Amino acid sequence: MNLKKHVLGVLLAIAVPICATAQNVTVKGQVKDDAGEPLALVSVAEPGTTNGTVTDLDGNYSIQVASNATLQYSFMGYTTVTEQVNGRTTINVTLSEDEELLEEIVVIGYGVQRKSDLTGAVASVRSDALKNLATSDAAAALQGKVSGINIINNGAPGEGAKIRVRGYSSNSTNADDISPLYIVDGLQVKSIQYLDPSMIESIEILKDAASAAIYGAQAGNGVVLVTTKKGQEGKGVITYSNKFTRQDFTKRPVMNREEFLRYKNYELGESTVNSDLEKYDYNHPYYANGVIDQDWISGYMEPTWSQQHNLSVSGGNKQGHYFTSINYVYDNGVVRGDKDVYKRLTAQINADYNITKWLQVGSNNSIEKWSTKSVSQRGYRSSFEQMLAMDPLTPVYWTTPEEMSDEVKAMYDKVMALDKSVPAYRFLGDEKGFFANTEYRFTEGTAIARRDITDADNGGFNMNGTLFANLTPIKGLTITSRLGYRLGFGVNHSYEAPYYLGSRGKSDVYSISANASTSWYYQWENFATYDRSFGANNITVMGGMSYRENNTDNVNASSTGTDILSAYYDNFQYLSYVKSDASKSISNAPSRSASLAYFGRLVYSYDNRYSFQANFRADAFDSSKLSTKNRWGYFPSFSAGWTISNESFFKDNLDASTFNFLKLRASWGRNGNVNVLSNYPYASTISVGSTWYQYDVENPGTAYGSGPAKLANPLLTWETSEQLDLGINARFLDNRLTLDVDYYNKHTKDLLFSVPVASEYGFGNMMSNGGDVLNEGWEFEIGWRDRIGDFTYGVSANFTTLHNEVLSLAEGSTPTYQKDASSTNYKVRTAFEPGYSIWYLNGFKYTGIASEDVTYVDDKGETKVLFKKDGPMFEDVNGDNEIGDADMVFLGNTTPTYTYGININLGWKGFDFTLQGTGAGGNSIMPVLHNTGYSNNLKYYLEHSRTEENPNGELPNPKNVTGDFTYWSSSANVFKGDYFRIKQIQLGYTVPADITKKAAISNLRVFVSLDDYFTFTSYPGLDPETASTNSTSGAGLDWGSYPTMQKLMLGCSLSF
Amino acid sequence: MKKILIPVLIGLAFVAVSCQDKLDIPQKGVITPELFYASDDDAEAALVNMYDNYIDNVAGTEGIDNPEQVILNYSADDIYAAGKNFTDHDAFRIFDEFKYDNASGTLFQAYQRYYFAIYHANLVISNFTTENRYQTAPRHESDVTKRCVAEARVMRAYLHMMVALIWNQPPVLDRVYESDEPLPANDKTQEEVLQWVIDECQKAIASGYLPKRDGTTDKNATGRMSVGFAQFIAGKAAVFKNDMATARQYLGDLIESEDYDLIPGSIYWTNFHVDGDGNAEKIFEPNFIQDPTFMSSRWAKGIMRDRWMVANVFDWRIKSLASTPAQCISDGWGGGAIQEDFAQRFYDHDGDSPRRRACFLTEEEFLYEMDWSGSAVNNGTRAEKEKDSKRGIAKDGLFGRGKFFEWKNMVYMAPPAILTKDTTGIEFHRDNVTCGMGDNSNQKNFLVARYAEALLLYAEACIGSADAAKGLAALQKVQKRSGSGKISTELTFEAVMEEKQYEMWFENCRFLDLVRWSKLGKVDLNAIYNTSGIHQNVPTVHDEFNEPDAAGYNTIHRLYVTHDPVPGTSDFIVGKHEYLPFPRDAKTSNPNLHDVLGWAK
Repeated sequence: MNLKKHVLGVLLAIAVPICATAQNVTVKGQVKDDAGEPLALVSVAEPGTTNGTVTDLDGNYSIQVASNATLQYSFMGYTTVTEQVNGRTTINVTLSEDEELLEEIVVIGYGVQRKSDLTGAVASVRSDALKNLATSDAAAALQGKVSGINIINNGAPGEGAKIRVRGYSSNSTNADDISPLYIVDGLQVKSIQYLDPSMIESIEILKDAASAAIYGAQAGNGVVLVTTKKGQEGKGVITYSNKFTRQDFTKRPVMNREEFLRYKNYELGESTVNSDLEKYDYNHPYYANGVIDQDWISGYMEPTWSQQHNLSVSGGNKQGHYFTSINYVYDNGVVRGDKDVYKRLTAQINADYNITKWLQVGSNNSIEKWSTKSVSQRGYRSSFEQMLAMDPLTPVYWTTPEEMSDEVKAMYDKVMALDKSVPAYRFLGDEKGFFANTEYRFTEGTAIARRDITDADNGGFNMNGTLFANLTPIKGLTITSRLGYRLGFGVNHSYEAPYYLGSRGKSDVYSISANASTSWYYQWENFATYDRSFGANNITVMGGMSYRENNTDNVNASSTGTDILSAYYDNFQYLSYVKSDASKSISNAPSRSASLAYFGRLVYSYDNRYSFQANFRADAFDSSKLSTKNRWGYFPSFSAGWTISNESFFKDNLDASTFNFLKLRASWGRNGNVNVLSNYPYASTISVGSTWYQYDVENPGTAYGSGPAKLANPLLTWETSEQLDLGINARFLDNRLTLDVDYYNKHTKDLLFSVPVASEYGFGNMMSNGGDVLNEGWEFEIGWRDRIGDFTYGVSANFTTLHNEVLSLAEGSTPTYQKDASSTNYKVRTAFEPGYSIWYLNGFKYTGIASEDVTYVDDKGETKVLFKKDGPMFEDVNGDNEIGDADMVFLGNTTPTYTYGININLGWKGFDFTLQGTGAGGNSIMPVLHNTGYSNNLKYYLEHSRTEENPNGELPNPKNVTGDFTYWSSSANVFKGDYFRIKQIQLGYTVPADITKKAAISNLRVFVSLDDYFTFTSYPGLDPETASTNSTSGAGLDWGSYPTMQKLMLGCSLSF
Repeated sequence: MKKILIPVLIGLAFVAVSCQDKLDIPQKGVITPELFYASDDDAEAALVNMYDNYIDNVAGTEGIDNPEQVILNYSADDIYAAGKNFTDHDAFRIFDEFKYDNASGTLFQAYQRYYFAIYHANLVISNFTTENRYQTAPRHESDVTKRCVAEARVMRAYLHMMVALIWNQPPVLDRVYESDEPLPANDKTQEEVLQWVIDECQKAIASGYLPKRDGTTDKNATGRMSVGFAQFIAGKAAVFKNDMATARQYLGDLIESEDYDLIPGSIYWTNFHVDGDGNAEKIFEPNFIQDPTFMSSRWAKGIMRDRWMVANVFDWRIKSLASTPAQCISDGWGGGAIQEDFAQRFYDHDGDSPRRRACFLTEEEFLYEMDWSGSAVNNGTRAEKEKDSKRGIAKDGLFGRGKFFEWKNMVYMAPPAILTKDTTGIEFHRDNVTCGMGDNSNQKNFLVARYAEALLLYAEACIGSADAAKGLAALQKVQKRSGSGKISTELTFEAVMEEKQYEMWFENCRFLDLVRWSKLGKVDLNAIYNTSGIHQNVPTVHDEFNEPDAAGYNTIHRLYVTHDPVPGTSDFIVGKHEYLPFPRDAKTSNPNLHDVLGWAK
């Protein structure tokens, strides 16, 4: 195609008379690529005229132009360069390869395709965009890079990011059920957290159903295809890089002592507060002037250093390629001490070799060793909730037993006196003293104390890889046989001894557990691709099969009791030393699951103008998911593209340097989501020994009974999504300006509901398919890149809208309400209800402060008070003069309605500068941290309450809302979740090669970077991005989540 | 190339064919229905499953109530939904005042739970007889399976009797119905359903496999279906069908078996507490599980069976008292009061009989004979107690009560001295011995049928018949034991009605009896519910000692009653509210279920 285009250019140049003007000069020169090789057939043209030529085989050209003319050098696959002649007669030009351009090859699942031939919506992220990030998680590295995906992060070390492609389609509350399918080098994996971004060549996201349909029943949530790096032909390259990261968290959203006391004075009354201070407050040696003013965020968090190292060796020749890499991550989170640490050592070994002309073999392998320690978050009495709720009047330490509260001191004295009537409690602390607990209220203990209750570690090995052979027996035909495997070994241990932080934060028993998990997975896939051209016709046909099998074999054992170990020294804290008479719990049941698929693809294109693609997949799953009769599913898709810019009417009428490229795409396809099915949901079974009765009236003794476990529905099937995608790709101004727009409309039906059935059948409910969820939106990607002399720059931005709506429920079922925060007494719910976004916030509508008592006359003629003067008022939706469940309404989406990202890259000589930002919005967050009594809370509540100091506050005085969980579950406590975060500001410098070459270094780059340092948000809590509980239905409820850490990163990379 | 291609293609074909089998993975830890119901052990396991489900569904807790207890007791004219105030037990009050509609959650729960329990009885019958969808022969049959079937048959009959008495024309589920077949319509009349109940009991008795109580000391026969219970159900169903000859036959057989007897009046109260489990008087009450390991490891079942929150409802509201009475375990919600006028009649009739004391206390007993945990003068003089601030009712009083304090269904922390003082040498127990679920739980077996009811049903069946003398003897037996001093000399309807209201108070009987008697013209439901004033004149009892506005404030304890002028009214419609409507949700999911009688209009 290139040749043809340039030949045309040559002919044009010859055929059209050159319009010479005065003061013509002849400009000569040579065009080379980055590697210094001459480039032939480069178009050299004078924009706005028909004057032009092409370079010869040595890259030389000669052209006559006006001395003040502009010359433009363009060549497919390379960035266009524009030069002012300014009277010069020799202009040498270097063209850089443009990886973003249309000739890029993208991976599409069981094959590759030129980007220009794509008919579906495939986002592609190349290695350049993934490098030099602070994250060690490939999924997190995608944030802000492309449209149509949302990355859900949590700040905790080792907590993998979750990817959501084009919305949220299921009513399942299990977050994993709406994860995309992950494929790494053809191998299906559960997550891509094990892959360091430095090992990745590209990540493709198959967003539309037509592209994903080749993965059938598992592709309903999109497909993420990862391709790891391959060695390049030529001299071997050794690269070493490192990153040293200082992590910290500096936001302080909760009240300090002075603010807290002001708030409590309002809430509880000054006399109560003063008398409590008299009882409990004291001069503490660790605080200025002895006044305890504990910032619990500092009390629990501290700046820490983390590091990453990466060493890779790669190379190749015409016969084969190799890439090996070792990557080490040590990520110590911001919680004080080493209780939140993620360690990972990964090796990647990729190689391929051409044995004969018709046989290529190869293998890609990852070996990962990982371990994590983590602290509790996102829940009732988790350490992060306690960090936010702990009062600033309580110190971190009691320096002596005398400072302890009476309750703890009394117990401490008993334990020290070896009093047998109490367990041998531990009193937690460190070299600076005992960890204190608040005396102002009954609670389970401070975050730092809770950190040390349990010793737990979690770790393991994973080996993932593929072995493949490509046969090319005849021209155009490639047969691939690929064996993929995953081996996983994991172990976790946990040990807890009795401890005492107070009568409410204590344990009287020892508990110990160890779990060993083993899993092995393999897949065997065979497929053949035939590719032929007949004149302007191009046909690709692919067909194949896949068999996948996963096995797990986990052994769990634990013991709990007042005396379970033969001794309690450190070296006895293992299950081997559990006493024979201690109560134990053991479980093991190996499990296997398997699936089988046949798939095929037909691609037809004509004259680079029209392309058409059809995919088909037939999937069958094992009996743990679907009944034998119902196990096969069929997933078709169709897509078409029209490259208008290759039409003659386009070329003839539009200036090729202004409007370079235009393509329209349309696709439709059907996918499934089989994740929601597990554990034989369709099968009627007898639960053995699940019921109990005692026949003897006086003597205990249990007889065990068995009966049907459920009302089975043998017709159960997966969730099915059908998606329409319409897209435009356009390039302007010599490909410097790119614009891609997609519209998507995805309907997911056959969700799994528990629907009521007639009681006479013996059960109240039965699982059934039904309902319909819509995800609809627009995706925009716009980019500009150019070079001005030595200065190169590029700006790209993406923006995605998402309209998510539950359209219907299964017949007979009613809206589902989840109360993820009910243990805090909050009444707020998240609801799955037609007409709204999934799991929207459902609570009370706050209408303001009552200026006087709001009354009503009841049906007996009596006057009753509905809202008290100065208290909060709510909308009485059903008008029954009571504020109850029926008055709970939509308060906001819990999922963003738009996400966006921006990337700016600048380069000048050896310097490079990157600025990346990402944001999301349209969602709401409700903090569920309010507790009665001396519990701390967001400063926001003090600043916005109507008090003597703030008579115009829009929230009621604290005294009128303490413990009023209707109020706390109302719109008064709902905040916008919108945020924009500068993910990275990085400045790098590549030392000139002529200097480094003296040290045999071909490339040396050093950089400094601020990652996640600046966040713009109106959310008054810790972090709008990570605020949510840990299930799909708990999005939007901020219960104390590990925030995104701010990172200062220093690093270097060098290649030999 | 062919050398390579052919093996590859064959290989692919081989993989494609052989993989299908690999998709068949058997589930662990369960067995399929096709393998079950095939041995004696399976029959026993299915039977245990039946009892378990019966307790969970009918005899256990649903939320804060036991639906059967709420519907049948609160609909009667002698119990009132009390508590902190008028709105406190709204979900109960709607049955007091007949303000429910077919959307009531309690109503749906009651219906659903009866049919769940019926289904689990049908699993035994349909799998071990030919009484199933395709009349398939059972995979296994033996004396054991026949005994299990006989027990399931009686359970199913008893449950059908209950749904017939509550809904009049319920669907009869005479086998397991599978979810892909239509359900039977409720087109049998109440008489026909009750006749079916009698026939089923007869079938079970006649099989000879039904366990039989071995004398009055055989406790274990009360924890399962027995010949005696089958006779009781057949007899009771016959009485409700107004087929008194049949009733006399079954209840007469029950009485003549001499396997049951009334316990002495001095320990009458134990019928309603742990010490009475399985006593001579009990015909059927499902056992509470006492196995400590069971209780600690399977707490969800424990909660269900110990009627955790039901216990809260029936226990006194200590927050409204001056301190904790010694028999109370912890603060309850005080949700079930004895109706004030009825309590007075009961007191006038029974005086200080052991029966009356087992049911409720008088002002005198409440203030001065009972131990109060906060009091320092429990053994003090009357004068000291009169001025003791740690006894009596706190300010604002107790809503829903007159000067009488019911405790028949209270969970006893310690059996009260008022009840135990007339006995010697017997060690009594608290009602929540083994449970670790919190204090307000009740480990007493759930009372379904006791001999006193059988005697009174028999007496009623004998009125005007040749067996009148036997019937009078049965009535007198109950009267003598009660300690009221009243002994009838003639068997009259009025005598039986009167005695039964006292003897069976708060035991699920009264409302059903009223409906039955109204059909016989013996009572006027409109007068009872709408014009008697029992719902127009709801009392609150106060203690002068603690009411600053009272004349005797802070002098001595003395109770007085105020009446909220019109706190509630009764919406009883004759011809409609005798039976309950079929729940809305039950009709939605079962299109063959239709409203009947007054609800159909």
